[in-house]
Amino acid sequence: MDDKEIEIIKKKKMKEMIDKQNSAKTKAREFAQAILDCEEYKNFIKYSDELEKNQTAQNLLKQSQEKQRELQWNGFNANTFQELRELQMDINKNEIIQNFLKAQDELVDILRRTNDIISGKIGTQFAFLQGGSCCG
Amino acid sequence: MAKDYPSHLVIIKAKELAEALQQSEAFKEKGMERLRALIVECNQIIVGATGINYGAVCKPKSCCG
Repeated sequence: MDDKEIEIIKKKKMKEMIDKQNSAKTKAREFAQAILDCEEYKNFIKYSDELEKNQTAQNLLKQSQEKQRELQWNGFNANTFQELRELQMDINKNEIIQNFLKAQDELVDILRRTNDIISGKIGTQFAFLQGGSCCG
Repeated sequence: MAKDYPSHLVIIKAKELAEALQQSEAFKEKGMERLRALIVECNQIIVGATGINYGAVCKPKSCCG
């Protein structure tokens, strides 16, 4: 086998390697498209938009966050705690917020299932978090 | 059921992606560095196409409690 033949074999192997890597990337694109097409994703987008546009729901969430922050920073206060409980009850009754939370849970559930499937097959965590940790 | 079909397709596509990763040289070489680089690229494709922070959504349950 001369140098030219070795070079041809090397190039062929390199091409095969690149093709296989590209195949994984092609499959990642198809997977992303399947996510975009699934009902869980469409519902999530729909209810996110509704939540974003609804001032009442936005105010409830904002007030609830403020009360939680107050309790964290200022320590326990019975009045603030009661106000937070009432806000939580209003949130539980708010259809727009509940639709959004349900849609979010359903989307997260299917995405976690896909990550479990892929991670299980390749023997390492597939979902990659920038920075390596979800904590920061 | 029609409702279940798209979700079912997501699972099928996840399995196909897993198989493609298994077929990659990076996986066969058992070289974690190259496999990790390929995983990062695949994650970036998913995040870029869907706008979902896949890594954050699918974070291991042990992380941050």
